[in-house]
Amino acid sequence: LADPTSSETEHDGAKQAPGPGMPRWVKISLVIAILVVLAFVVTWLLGVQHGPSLHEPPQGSGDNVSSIEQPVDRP
Amino acid sequence: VTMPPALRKFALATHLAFSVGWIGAVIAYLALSLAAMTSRETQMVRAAWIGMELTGWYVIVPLALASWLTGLLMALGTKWGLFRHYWVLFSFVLTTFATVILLLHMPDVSVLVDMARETEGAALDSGGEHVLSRLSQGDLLHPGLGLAVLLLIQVLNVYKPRGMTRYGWRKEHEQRRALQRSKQGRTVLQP
Repeated sequence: LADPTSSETEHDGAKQAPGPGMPRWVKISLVIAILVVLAFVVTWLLGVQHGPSLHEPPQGSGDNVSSIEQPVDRP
Repeated sequence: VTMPPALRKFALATHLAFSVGWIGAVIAYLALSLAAMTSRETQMVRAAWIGMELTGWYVIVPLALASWLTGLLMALGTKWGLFRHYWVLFSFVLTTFATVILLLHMPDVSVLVDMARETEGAALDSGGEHVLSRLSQGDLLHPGLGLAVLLLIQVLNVYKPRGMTRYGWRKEHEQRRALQRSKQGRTVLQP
């Protein structure tokens, strides 16, 4: 994460940042992060399947793992 | 608390090994996922998923946790600090995010692999079409986005974009004042 072996000039570069204001790259990154979170919330609200439900067999098909394991007796 | 130089170097080497290993393991996971997606052989698909589960739980998860922990120690044990520079803070937040998503996603992988294990090869071909179709979809989204996040963290760590937080500025100011006071004290004491 932090590289202590980096030169002092790099550290000084951080010191010379103009004032305690937020740099442009931080603002842009935050905007992108907010957009990503919003996109995730919207897809979640729209009911897009995600997570374990994605891996479950479709409901009503009756085609689940246990039915595969247990052979059906046929006349 | 600042670590002594020898300990700092050891911690940095350890952190780099864990972090780079994490990236490599994710690429290996992606290769297995691609194999599962492209192969038409049931056994190959199943074997790829079993390999993905093993790689995930026994390589990626330990490396992620170790990378997160050593990164935290590196930040707190060096002059960089955890909350002083935006790039350190961003790296830590992104690493935490990637680790949490990984820990939430791996049980899903295990569910799929359990389904594949419980079905016999023949049953998977004949009756378990949905299992096979799920397995053939692979798992590119999570490892793909995870790899992108890890590479972003790597770029942040290498380039160290400038920018200090308010907390960092305050601490820096306090340290400068303390340094000036100690210098003034020395000049007064000297004859």
